[in-house]
Amino acid sequence: MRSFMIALIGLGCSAQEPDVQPQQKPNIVVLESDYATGIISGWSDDFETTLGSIPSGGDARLIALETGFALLERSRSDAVTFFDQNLSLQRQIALPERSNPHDLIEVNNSYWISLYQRPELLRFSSATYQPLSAIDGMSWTDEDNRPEASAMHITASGRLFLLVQNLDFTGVEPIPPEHSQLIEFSSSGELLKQHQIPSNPFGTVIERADGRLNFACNRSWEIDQQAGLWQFDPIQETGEFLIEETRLNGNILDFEWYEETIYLLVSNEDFSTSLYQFDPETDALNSITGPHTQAIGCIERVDQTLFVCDRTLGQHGIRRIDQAELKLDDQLIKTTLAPLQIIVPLAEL
Amino acid sequence: MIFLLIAASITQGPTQRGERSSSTLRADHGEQFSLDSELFDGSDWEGILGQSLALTVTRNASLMAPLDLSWRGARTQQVQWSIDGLPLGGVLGGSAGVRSIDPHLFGGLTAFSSSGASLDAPIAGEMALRTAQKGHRLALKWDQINQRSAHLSSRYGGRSLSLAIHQTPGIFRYLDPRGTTRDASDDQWVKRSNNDARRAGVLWRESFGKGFVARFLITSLSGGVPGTGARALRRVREEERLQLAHVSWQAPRGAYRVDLSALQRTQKLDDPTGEFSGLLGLQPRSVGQRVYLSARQKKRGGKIAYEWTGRGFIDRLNRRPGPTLDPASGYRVQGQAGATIQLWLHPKWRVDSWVMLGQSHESSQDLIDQLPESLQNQTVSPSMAIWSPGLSLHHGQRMRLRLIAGRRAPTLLERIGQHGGLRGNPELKAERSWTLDFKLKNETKKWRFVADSYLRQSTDLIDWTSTSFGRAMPINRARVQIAGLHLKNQLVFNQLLVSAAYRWQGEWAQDSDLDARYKRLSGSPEHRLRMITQWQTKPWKFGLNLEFKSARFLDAANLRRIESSPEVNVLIEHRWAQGWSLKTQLFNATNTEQSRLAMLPGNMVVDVPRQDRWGHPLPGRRLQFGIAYQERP
Repeated sequence: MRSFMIALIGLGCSAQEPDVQPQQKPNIVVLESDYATGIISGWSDDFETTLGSIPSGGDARLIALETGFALLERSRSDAVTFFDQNLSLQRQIALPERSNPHDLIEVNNSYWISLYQRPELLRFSSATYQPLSAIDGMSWTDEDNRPEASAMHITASGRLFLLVQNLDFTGVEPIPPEHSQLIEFSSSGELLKQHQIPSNPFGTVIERADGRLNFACNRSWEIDQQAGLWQFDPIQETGEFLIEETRLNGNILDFEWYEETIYLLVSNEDFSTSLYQFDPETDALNSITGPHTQAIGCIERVDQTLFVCDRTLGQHGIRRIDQAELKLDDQLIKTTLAPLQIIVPLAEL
Repeated sequence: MIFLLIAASITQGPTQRGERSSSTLRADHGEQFSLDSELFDGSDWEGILGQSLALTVTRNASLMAPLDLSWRGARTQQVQWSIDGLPLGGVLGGSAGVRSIDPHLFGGLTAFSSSGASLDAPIAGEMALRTAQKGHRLALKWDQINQRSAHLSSRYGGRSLSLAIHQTPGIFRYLDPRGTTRDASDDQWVKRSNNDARRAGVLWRESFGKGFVARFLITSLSGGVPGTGARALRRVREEERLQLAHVSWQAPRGAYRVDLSALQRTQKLDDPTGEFSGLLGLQPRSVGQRVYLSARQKKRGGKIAYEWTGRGFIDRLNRRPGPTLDPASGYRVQGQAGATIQLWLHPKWRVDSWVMLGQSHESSQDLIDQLPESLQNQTVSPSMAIWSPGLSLHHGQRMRLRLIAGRRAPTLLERIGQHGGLRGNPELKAERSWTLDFKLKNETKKWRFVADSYLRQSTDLIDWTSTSFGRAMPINRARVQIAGLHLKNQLVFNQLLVSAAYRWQGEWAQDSDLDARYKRLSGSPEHRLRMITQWQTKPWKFGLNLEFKSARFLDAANLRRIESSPEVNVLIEHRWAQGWSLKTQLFNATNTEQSRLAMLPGNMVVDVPRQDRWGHPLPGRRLQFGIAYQERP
């Protein structure tokens, strides 16, 4: 009753209204979402102050560009929105209905957009935002006519890759294939190679200094033998698991390299999360402890610090990983909605 | 199964003046709703429920759309619907399934807020339908967007029969922002498609004498599931059928009553291109069944009255997600017992106290195994206790003060869902709530004034929110506090009747105990004001309804605030002495087709189609013609 009266007196009738658009260029950008609604918030160094926020769709993905940011919105609508580095709107473009855009990269003077549910890669001029000819994707699409194309990556040497899951949606649940694909293109959009990779790649692609590509391959929600963190060598065209799911007891949701160690965010069998530190050289696997590791949504390196998205219901925000103690900080950097992505603007890197 | 039948010898006491013998002791806690609503826009149900500002009803986009209402913070699924005391709840899919029942099949509706007429609705309230009809009635309606309906009911002695059909092509224009809310240049006006629907129903009520009454209800609803405006569904179709048989026996003056009924609901969804779920093989079929038995004993003495009720039901749900899969079944057994004691302290002062205790047990693992893997984990016990004590103090019909608590277990629908628009959540916990309300009523020949205020605190409130794919899913909100004030005033000056109603409802929802950001519930405006003016000069009647609503949030996070334009509805009616009338109504006279949506943070304001809580566009101005006959008593 007491809290009820405090609420009555203290808040009146209206809900709390978050900040407005940032007036200066943020050093860190966070995509916050409850999957129905979202916001993009800009922060100063080390999350010291909030510089402002703008609205976003609930099921969205934010991508850092040289010119600012691209926001891919899907599920309730399909659109791409471009912002400058101050998060000011540049242009919004409708994408084909139910195409489910998953990733965007800038190639020469064009933007390429991968679509989860349509067998093509869309292209737009980065100068005028006008559509360019799409790249036909039927050759990498499976029988349900949906490729489940996800992350894209352009390497330091200029090679272009696209991860394609090829899940089977003809039944009542998506079924992972025996193998998924890593598609390689020329910068003009010509299909160069279709590399076979372990089933169901998920999340982002990280390129190592030696050019090898890392990405998670989860196969199914079960703990599978042939699933884990895959390392692909584009020169040798070979790959290997750096660590398998069977050691992690779960599926990899996100990962980040820090010097010579990998920090892994894992979804457990009961759908809670765990964090691990893994050293591929020594094969040492350490668990990151603390009371806040149960509902983590992302892991990201900002300068010399690793941060995670804590999506605990009602107690969400950003937390720092104490790498010395291998635990999450008790101190919570509060966000309006549960954080989904932490992005460092390209100009900051 | 826990089921309690209480039998004891009693001495019959006098019934209250005006009380039906079939009524429970708490029947006067309810508010009568007219089933012939006029001057309210929306579908039949929305017009009827919209008569009270206490209820927020938001849909009129399609007959296929589940009825969406909010009542003191309680949602559609929590409100218990009953037919002659038979609870429809879980099997019917909560109130959502009421869409398949035409309201004109029935003879009356009573709304019980915060607690039901007997054992039902420990938290939300009960909508109690009565099958008994009065005389012969006929009504035919047609409107500008080609919605057509016909209702016929007839009563001869102890037999009554009602028929109702409703058909709509559901085609009207709306603004499609194409998902680019930041770019208005590509907006376009388009026609709503796959929005057609047909509904038909028959209700037969037969009184055999010696207290035996039987009722048979058969309804059918089918049509397109149109989806949201920006993300229309082109080929998704749904069909729902309901069959009910209900027999009751009642001793003279209702001293004893026994009810036995069987109910079956079948539902199927066809999604040939996987538009809804993305999964081509998901073509769900389900059959829900309920067998129900209850017994009641009522006794009135000089200053005290008692009522004892015991009941039990078994719900069974059989579901096949797709043609290539085996069906799975689950069931729920629920037993409840309750008592009400009514004590007259003084000729005008009365105290009612009641308690309901119950236990539900569920066996649904096979159904849960059909859900996506991410939803299969469950830590919640399949057995849950439910209870609801209450106390009310009455001063005649002028004043009522109530304190009500309740604990409600999630229904099978809330835990398992219904493939398609309503997704289940096996992790749901039981919700708990207490309510304090105070009502004042003053009535003279020319003036009627009612003030109703309420406070409610709910823990683990089961609240339906929209998912990223535009479907609805229940979640527990850690704590929700609600305060409200509802004022109604009605004045009669000869041929002129002026009524005004205002409702304020403050809401503070927290998603955890540590959540410092209080939010409003989605879809619920803080302020509502309505003014109705009617002028009758025989044989004519003219009416004007003006309604204002403050902005409401479309989302649980309170980041999408949509403005509401004033609503204007007009009525012209001509009546003949023989009981015939011709009615013309103009709904949404200002032709509001767009709303202003503020996207927070940043307060970016954009135009979106006038829409319901889930983003389904609503039609613009609509002219409706109706002809009706009602037998004069």
